Amino acid sequence: MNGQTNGTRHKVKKQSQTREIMGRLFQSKTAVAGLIIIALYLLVAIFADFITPHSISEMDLSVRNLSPSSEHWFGTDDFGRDIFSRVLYGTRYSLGLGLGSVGLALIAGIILGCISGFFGGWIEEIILRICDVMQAIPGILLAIAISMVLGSGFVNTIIAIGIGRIPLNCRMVRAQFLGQRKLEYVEAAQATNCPKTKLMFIHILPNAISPLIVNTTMGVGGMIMMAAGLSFINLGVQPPLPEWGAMMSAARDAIRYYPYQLLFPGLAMALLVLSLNLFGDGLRDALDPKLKD
Amino acid sequence: MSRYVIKRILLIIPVVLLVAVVIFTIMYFCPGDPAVLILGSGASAEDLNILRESMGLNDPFLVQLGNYLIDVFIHFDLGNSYTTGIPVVTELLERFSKTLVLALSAIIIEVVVGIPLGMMAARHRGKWLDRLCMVIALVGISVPAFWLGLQLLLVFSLNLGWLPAYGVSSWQGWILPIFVNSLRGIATMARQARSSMLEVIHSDYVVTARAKGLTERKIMMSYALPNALIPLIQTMGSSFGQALGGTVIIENVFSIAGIGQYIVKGIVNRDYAVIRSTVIVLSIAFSLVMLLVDLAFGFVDPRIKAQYAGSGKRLRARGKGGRKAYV
Repeated sequence: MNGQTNGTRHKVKKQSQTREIMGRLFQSKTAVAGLIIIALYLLVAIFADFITPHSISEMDLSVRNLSPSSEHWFGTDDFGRDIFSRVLYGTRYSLGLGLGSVGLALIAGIILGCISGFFGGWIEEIILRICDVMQAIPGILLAIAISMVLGSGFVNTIIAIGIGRIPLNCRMVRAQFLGQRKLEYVEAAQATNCPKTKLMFIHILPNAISPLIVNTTMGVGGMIMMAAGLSFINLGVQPPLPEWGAMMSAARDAIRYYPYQLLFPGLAMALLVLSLNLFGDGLRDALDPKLKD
Repeated sequence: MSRYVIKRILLIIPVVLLVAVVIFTIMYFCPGDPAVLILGSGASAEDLNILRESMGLNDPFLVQLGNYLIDVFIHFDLGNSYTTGIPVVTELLERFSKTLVLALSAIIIEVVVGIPLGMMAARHRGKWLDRLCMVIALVGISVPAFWLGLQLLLVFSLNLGWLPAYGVSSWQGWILPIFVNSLRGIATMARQARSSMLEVIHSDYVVTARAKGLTERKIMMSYALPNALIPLIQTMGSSFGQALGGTVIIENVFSIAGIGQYIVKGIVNRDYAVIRSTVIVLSIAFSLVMLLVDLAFGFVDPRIKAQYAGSGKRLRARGKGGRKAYV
């Protein structure tokens, strides 16, 4: 795809492909907006300890269930904790859950996909059949079953929701590998006695990875929502940790009287997921300009 | 065609069996002793041991697995709930219809609403209508379903009082759950429909059709859409899984006595028997839908059918070229 655009331009000096992709990415206003918001969320997640105006865990029953005010921007919850601070701090958990689980699925998927796409034969057959079985179980149900075994908690939730994504990544990498395996540069590398691991990960993988990058970017949002869904049904990350799903789950019973307790964590999550999707869309168009026009 | 159908049906059997094996194996490692869960922590060691023996919990793992598979696939016995003692099958049959309504209506709505939305966006590419459709779709995939459900419940049931806040005893009760459960599917479908329409809309046969002076409607419906259909059917299959999984949370938000609510009850009570069997049943249902999707592929795309036919047929199918748009 990118080769074609390079070819038709007839430029003497060939531009770096990465730079070209970045150029296209930054032309899209929505993608840039998404990226800026994601960056802000990341900063909040990293520096959460310093920017939260109130303690996230200290309970003060004299200020229970306050409405939003200048002192408590998002109000306070049932235990008198400042919701604004907790929403800020929750970024760390929700973003961590999203990035951690797609990261896990990415690494495992790449390794399995490389192996099955490169070696083929019975290894491929076994890996693909396992993928078939895993994909026959709807994601949230698999996550429920695994969470029941591992129990709640941050790392356990990452594992529970991440595993379900592995087959998808594995198949994607494998499909790309099948396309690359017969190309000349692979043959050349083989002819120069390039070690198999080097050939797989250094030579083929970079050429095979772009659909995976787009898919992973788009997947972070889905994972964040799934993690929140798990918290909501008493699995996943549980109160008193200020994960957004856990906060919403706790705010649910008081929805009639204190609706803002549910509103703000949900808005924070929707904005983050929206930005991730905007950025993912932009990235897809940048990597695959054929779709754009 | 019959050969393709039979092959696909035979291929699904090991998948379904292995799904049961995988879930059983995962849940086998659940912490806690089922005998203690059933009898309570005050029970004597002797009673616990008798119960364990009668439930086969002292058997080796493979024997337990074998017995479970025989129970499920030959006797259709999914075991009893640890906490209530009611057979899981009884509960599932009672709750099945509500979950099915939720999941199926989500699929139907996403096809009826999502595809036209995406087609409209593709046709008016780059104009405000396209942007509007895509903004709606983007918001649709970005909003957490249970949060939206609770907000709508707050506005329409608690504040305005237009819709019942609890259960589905009247038809009005279905409006919000069905809407919330299908929203994500509608959005995904609209985005997929737009991009796969855009891929075919510049093909030579569409240009030819336009040059022939056919109406835009005819071009869209009989030339572009059939060729854009494959990824859409695929999306439909996977979003049925989403919708099915979504019911777990939606039923909980709207207090609907379906299978999803049963799972959440099982989670709260740590009732592994319930969760294990329910997850297996829902996964089998999902596999069967994916089977239907694959069969639909065969009907929609002759190239796929040809892969499963004999080698002689494959050549002929390739020679004929398939759909009329290719001719």
